Amino acid sequence: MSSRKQPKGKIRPPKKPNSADAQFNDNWDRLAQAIREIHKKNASILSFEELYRNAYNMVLHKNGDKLYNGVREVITQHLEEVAVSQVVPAFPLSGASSSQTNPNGAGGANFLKVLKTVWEDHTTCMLMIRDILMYMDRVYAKTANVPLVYDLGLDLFRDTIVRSQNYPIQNHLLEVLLQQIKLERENEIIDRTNVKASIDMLLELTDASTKDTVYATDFENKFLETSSEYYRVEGQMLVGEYDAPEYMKKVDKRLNEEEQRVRHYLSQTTEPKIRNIVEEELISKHLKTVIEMENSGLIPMLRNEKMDDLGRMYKLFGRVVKGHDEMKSAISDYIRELGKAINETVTSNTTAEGGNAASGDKQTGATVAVRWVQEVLDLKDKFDKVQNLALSNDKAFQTSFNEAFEYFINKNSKSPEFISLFIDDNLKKGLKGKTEEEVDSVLDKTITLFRFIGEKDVFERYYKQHLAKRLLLGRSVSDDAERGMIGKLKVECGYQFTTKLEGMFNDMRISSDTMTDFKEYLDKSVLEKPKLDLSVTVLTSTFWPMNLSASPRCNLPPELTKACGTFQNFYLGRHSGRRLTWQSNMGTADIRGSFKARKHELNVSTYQMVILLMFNDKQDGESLSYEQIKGESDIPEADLKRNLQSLACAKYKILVKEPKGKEINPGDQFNFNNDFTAPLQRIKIQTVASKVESEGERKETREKVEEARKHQTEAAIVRIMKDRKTMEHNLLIAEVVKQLQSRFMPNPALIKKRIEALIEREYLERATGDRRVYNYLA
Amino acid sequence: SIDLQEYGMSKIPPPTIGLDFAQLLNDSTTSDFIIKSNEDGPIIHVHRIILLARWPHFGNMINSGMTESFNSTLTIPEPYAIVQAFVYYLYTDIIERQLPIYTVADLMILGNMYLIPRLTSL
Repeated sequence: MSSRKQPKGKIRPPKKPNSADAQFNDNWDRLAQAIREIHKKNASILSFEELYRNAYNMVLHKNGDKLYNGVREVITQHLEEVAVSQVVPAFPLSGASSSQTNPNGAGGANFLKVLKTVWEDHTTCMLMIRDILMYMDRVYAKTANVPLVYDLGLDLFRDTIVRSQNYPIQNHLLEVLLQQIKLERENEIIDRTNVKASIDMLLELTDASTKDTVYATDFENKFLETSSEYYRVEGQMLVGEYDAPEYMKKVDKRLNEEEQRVRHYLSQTTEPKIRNIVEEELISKHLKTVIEMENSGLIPMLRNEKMDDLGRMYKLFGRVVKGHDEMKSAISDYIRELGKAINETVTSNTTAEGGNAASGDKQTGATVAVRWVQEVLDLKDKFDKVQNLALSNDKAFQTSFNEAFEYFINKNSKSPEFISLFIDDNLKKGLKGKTEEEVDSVLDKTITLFRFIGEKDVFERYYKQHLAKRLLLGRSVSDDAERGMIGKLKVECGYQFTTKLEGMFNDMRISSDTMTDFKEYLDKSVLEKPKLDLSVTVLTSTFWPMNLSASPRCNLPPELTKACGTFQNFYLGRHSGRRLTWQSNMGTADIRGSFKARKHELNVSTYQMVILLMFNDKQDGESLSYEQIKGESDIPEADLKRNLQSLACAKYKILVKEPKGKEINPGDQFNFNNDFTAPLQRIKIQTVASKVESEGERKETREKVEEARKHQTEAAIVRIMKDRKTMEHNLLIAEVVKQLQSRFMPNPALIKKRIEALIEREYLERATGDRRVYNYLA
Repeated sequence: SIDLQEYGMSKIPPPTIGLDFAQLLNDSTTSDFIIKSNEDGPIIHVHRIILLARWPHFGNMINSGMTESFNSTLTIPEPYAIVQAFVYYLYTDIIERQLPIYTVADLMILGNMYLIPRLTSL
């Protein structure tokens, strides 16, 4: 092209060289020489344009293959030289495998440094060669389907240097790399740049057969193997030497280091692999050991509320499959254990109390209940805190904690009663020292315990009893608080659960209206007005927990009997068809007592009033015997004893008992205490506080609950069958359980009995073909 | 007819960038590189920055560390007319109309050699 011999004006075809081979040899000699100069870093004496045109001409004249092969030869030759003259002399002296004799890895570091230089020189040269041979790359390499010249250079480097057949370069390289990493793991400072250069080099080279990087094929597996071994040994060592928090810190540090290492000088693809290895060797394999470490494992952490350590454990163990499961079950077992301990202290207390229950220590029962609930709440608080601060509010943990609480709470058969008593205690005395918000939050927590109760119907029964006492004795701290609590229960259990409770409230409201009307009625009435103020609460018998069907025996004073009669006339006049029974055991009375020192207004129960009025007819000093009082008042014995106890043995001694003592026994004598003094004008004689039921009462409650369950079960069966018309036995049982389990866990035997009862009463029948299928009879 | 102005469009005058760059060609005061032809024809004063943008081969050359980059001189062993036309194309993206056909043909060959597909397709 440089010489134009043909006439101008024509487009010339590529001209044929006269002596093509001679021309080529000449050109090639010059180009090969130039490449050698480039290798010698003498590029500055060459002319880029000249070399480019030279190569261009060769390709143009169909000598691309010769050029390409020639270049390959020159480069290979050069690399062979480099291997001998630079790489081999830099082999670490002590031999690759014995890093012991070469603790600093200095020889290794030097080797890497040499290799880094060799690699950098090679790539620089290859870039120049590529630029000169650009035309060959574009025109020849494409059509001949050979690698571009730069890639050719990489392949040659791979085969001549890194995987040299003649020299153990590869062994040395891998050993040195692994040794450097080991040194760094042992806190030696290494020159990361050199390591990184070698790693980058391996990453840039491609394995011909796998098409993967040489890093992946040659290095990575070896690295992972040695790491596995390293951490297997280290795991055993650490577990033996350190306590759990310290161990976890070490593991944390290792994980961090490995991540950093990958980020700094390895390939990102290795990150998950090495992470798995550390997790497997340092966490998975030692899970149980660490959890169960004496004095420092999971349980001691919980006991001492080591939130940081717990959080670390949660995070670390979450990395491996079984980690959280192991933690969960360990913590759950611990909760169960603590719960069992709480239950045991309570039972031991109640049995102890059972022994001196007769001694009249009425507080203990309720106190035990309150203490039990408080301890359970404290436990709950503790684990809520753990959950919150250390476990990132993990739902799975929450569930397993809840199961553990449920387990031990239901282990204590008294828990429904205790929880109700606890609520009672708070709603009764709440405002003493606690703000409404505090009470509210305590009750909110109590609700969470309520959720754990399996036998919600038992709770309901106790709650009704306690609520009734609060309402009737006016001891409820506030209507709002009561309603708030019912609201909470309603949210938990639905409308059905609380209708009766709300009915009780309604009765109270209507009664207060009725009393206003009654007063008006009395004012307008021509009848003789009663000599005392009568206040009546009319209760709907189905709403209230007591047996209201009959009036308990009690001889009321005539004044009162008369007033009651007046009210009865008034009430029945307004509501025909109703029946009133008087529950004298639940009333209170305000009476005035004249003592030597001064007069006092006494707020007492109806029974106490009846007892005290008896002393009106007596002279000073004249005493009544227990039998006399019993005979005259006709009060049931248990009630009588309790009321006498409050009058004679409690804080305010209105009566004096002979002989003295805390117990009321047949044959005791009672005197009116004329010398009674008290700082207050108005005195409230404490009625017997709510307490844990005695065994007899408990049995009675149980029976009532069982009875109610029968009805509920039948109702559920009928509801389901009415809807489905026909149903297989097991499906029916399952459905019934589903419907009832929010209140209690019905056992299948009970359901079966109820089904049979319903068949007997012809609500259901067995299907003619299949005895296991029931039909609904409308 | 539609008033384009009203739609926020205005007639855009044809680009002048090629001609603007042509002004710079052979401006010895701002030039930082020289191109010579095979004859003893005049040297052409050019700008590295423009050639870098237009001619990948030039970039490789500048970065090669070989004589051209040291001496800021490139000798293209072709007749002056062709070299001149080639550089003109690089500056302006235009092949001059009045060029004789064989010069254009040589330009095409250069385009092939220097791997400038745009030039061969113009």
